[in-house]
Amino acid sequence: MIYFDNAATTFPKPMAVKTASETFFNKYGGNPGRGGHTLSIETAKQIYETREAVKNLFNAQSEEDVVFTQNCTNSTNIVINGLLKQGDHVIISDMEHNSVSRPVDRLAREGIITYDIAKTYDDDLKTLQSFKSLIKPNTRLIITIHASNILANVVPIELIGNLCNQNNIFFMVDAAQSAGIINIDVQKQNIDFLCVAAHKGLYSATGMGILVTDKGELLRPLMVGGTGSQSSSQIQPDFMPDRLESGTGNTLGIITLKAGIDFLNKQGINKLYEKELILAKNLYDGLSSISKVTLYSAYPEPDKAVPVVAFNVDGYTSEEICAYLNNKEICLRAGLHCAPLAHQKANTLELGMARASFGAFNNANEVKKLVNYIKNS
Amino acid sequence: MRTRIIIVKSITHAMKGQKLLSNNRISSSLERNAKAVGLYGCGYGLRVSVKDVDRAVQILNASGIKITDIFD
Repeated sequence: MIYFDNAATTFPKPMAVKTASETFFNKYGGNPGRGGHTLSIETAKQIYETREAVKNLFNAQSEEDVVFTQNCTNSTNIVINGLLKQGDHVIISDMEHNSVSRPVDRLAREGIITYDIAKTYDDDLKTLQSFKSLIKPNTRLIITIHASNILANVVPIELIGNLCNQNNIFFMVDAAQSAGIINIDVQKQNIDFLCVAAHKGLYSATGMGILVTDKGELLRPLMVGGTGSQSSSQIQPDFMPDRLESGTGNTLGIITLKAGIDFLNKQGINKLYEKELILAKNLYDGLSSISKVTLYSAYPEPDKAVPVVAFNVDGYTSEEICAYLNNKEICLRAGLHCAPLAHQKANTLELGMARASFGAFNNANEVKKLVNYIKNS
Repeated sequence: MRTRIIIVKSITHAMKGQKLLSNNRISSSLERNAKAVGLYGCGYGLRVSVKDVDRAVQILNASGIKITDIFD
């Protein structure tokens, strides 16, 4: 089987991740932060070491700035629902995933906030200007996807981060498609809230997301409850990460996340990115030579795109293309990819797209096979 | 050796504090303290030698780790 759906979740996971997952079952099975016995303390050490690894990966200021969540959508909801208040204005990009656009739109429909959608362009300065032109006196938050999950474009987050910083606006980045693929520095890029899907580019098990923020105290928690701290009080702790981490966490996911980050550090993020971009280029170039194929995603260039190629074949729906490929044991994702705004931008809301996305374990022969199957379809 | 336990707010602070102390060559053991659990609802603390307590408190304070109490 050939797996080209790494933008949904990476597969296979590195061997070190599989090995680490076993330690949850045979070594680190205690409930971290809830007891004083050895098993609880030893498990808590694993959790803390993962916080350190995440902190270092994104250059956060402190381990307390790392919040473990269920997934990237959980992270975006914690910020959007926890920060915004009556009368606030929000700006989002025109490529947002539903994980951002739905919670923002819901608050707007409820009459709590207003929002505008900023157009993005190939020209970074034009994109910056687009966000800038929408700022109002009550703009409290700017949100952008770092890289589109279908169009592959990378948004200039450092420029937008500076814009937010200059205007005292909070900046949230949805890094579901970029974390672990492109280097992210929350301090240098002025990111107040970084939302991450750990099971994608960071190779953890599913059910694992991250929120990196040094402003967690400002957020009204989505969920309150047991934290293992200040337990005699009915008031949720005001300190991080406890404020945003109620209930027993996903120890298995967190342990695999640490192994995933170790894998990335060993392989080198830039090296993997380079390799995956070459594969994406091979596919893009191969499909470009087939007249019945329409390509939608950005050409795979460093810092301009993530390794994602979206296309359609004349005469077929994206579902039909992916079903045909599935019969050939090649996994791609069809449809709207939970990103109707990006499809609206590409004028493919009705058609959808077939999407191939790459991971650390793909190779050039697999790409050749895919191109040949499309050629012969 | 006489020791005292420095109680902090959470397990994360205890883990972070232990690393900081270790980096400053202060040996500590991470423990849960029954008295602190009853008083504050979080009983995690770092047990250090009495001779190191003052320096440990300074290091933890300087790193933003709030100390809830200190017990024997």
